Amino acid sequence: MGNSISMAGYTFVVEEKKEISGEDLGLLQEKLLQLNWGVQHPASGPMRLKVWVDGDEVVKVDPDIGYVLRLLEKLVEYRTWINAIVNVERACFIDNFGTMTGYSIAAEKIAGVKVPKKADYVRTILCEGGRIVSHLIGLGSFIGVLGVHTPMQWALIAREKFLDAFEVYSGQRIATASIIPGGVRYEPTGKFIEKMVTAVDFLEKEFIPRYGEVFIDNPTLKLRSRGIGVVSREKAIDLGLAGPALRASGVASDMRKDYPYAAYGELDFRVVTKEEGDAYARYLVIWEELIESAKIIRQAIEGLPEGEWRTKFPVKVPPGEAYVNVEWARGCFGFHLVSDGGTGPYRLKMRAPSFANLWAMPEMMKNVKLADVPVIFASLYMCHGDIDR
Amino acid sequence: MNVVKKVALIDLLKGMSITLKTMFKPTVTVHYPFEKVPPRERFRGIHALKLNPDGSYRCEACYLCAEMCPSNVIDMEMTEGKDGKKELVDFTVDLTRCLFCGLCVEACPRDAIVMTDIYEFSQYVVDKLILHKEDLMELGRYYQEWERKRK
Ligand code: SF4
Ligand code: SF4
Repeated sequence: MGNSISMAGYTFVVEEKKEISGEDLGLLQEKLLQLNWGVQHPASGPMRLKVWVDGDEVVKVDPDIGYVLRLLEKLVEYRTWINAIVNVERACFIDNFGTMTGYSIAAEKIAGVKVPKKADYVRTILCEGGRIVSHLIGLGSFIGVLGVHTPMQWALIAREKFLDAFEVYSGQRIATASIIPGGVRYEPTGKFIEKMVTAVDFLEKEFIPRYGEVFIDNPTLKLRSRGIGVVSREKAIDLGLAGPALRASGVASDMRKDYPYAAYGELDFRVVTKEEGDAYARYLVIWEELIESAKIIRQAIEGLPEGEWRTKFPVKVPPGEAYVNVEWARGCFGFHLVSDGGTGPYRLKMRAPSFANLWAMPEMMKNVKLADVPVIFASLYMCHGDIDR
Repeated sequence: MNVVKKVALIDLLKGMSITLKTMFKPTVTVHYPFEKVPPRERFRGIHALKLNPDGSYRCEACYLCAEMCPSNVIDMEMTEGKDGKKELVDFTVDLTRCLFCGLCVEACPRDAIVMTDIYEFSQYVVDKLILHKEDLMELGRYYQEWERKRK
């Protein structure tokens, strides 16, 4: 029995006398076993979940975070208005455009700068590209935690095309540092547009039919994820879920529609919602948003206006503050930016969607089977860099 | 229907047909140290100091790049030259801290600091990762060669 558990990636805690007190001690005295799910678990990422189990049932889950803490909010205080983007984008590398856009819009609001229309459109294209890249990894890793690693490879092939487009645009595949207060850093050349169209073509013509045939209406997947981690509409709002997890519970909340920023107000797209609120519904929301994002990119490329892509941003910004929400790949990302009239931000507070989802997780993991822990964890679609910041 | 499906192994055959199709597709990965993908035009590799046609450096030690850098990578030492102009004694780029964001290149008013397409610069000794003026000028020669070839 001991062997089988440690082979599945779990480790026993033999004795942890000093740390345990209060409720946790009570749990141990009831002869409940505490398992460390993570930090080295294949599905956990840099995070540890303390899981108390009674046989196969999970009694209590306690997330232990902080393994990738980089103090990004503090670091921004030592930056100028322009170069703070390198810290903001590191909130999560996978979709870095969303965070840079949010920060830039907040800075522009304080400074009273209006960006050219072309910059808005390029931001939209990049943000949707980032969303697709992030959703592809989300889809792949969701099935990955169930033990099938092929979908991840397929998703990475499609992702590669987008990374290529990002490299043509900014010179770097992942840490692009391409959106700054005052517009975007580089001119969107014809070659970039061409690469983006190639990537979207590959996604729509190759990836979506092929992946959809095998991994969407998949009976084994449904067996593992249907009815697992169900959150009702009211509960989702109470828990403060964000992003695809919220929309899978039937709440049509999308910043792109509710408070349009960049060029989203002029584009036609649909907010994907599902009613079931279980892990499978969350997976489907990510899947359908992928299809929607591809359409947005096509529209934005078609409507790309002529003109400047960057305006001058002042070195010193007058005192003031702004709060901006953007719909990032993993949910609504909030930026509270304060200026004291200096050459850089006085304070930046980032409201991270993954953090909101993380603290809803213990509630959802009560009385589930141990094997469902990874499924619920992956379906909430969290990023560790974003949780710790 | 379900029983027929199970007996005829339809699901299995469906899966296998995809495996078969994929087998004959070209691979998407590159055998890295032996094959290399050339970097894109705007690629941000390690830095170089551009040179004038007569072999002197273009940088006039205005410190704007160092001001712009988010992680204090760039540092320079200067003295007063013969004709009252600032002259570089040393110009250091600490690659151990650099993010390759390219903001220094953008800040330079004289187009003096540029980024090459070199991305393989691992070293066994940390000190070798700190580029000095001579290294940067050497890289500048490489950059100009590369730029000429591109045109
Ligand atoms: S690339 Fe960025 S981090 Fe590196 S020296 Fe230039 S400004 Fe500094
Ligand atoms: S900004 Fe350009 S000219 Fe000024 S110190 Fe840096 S490299 Fe030299």
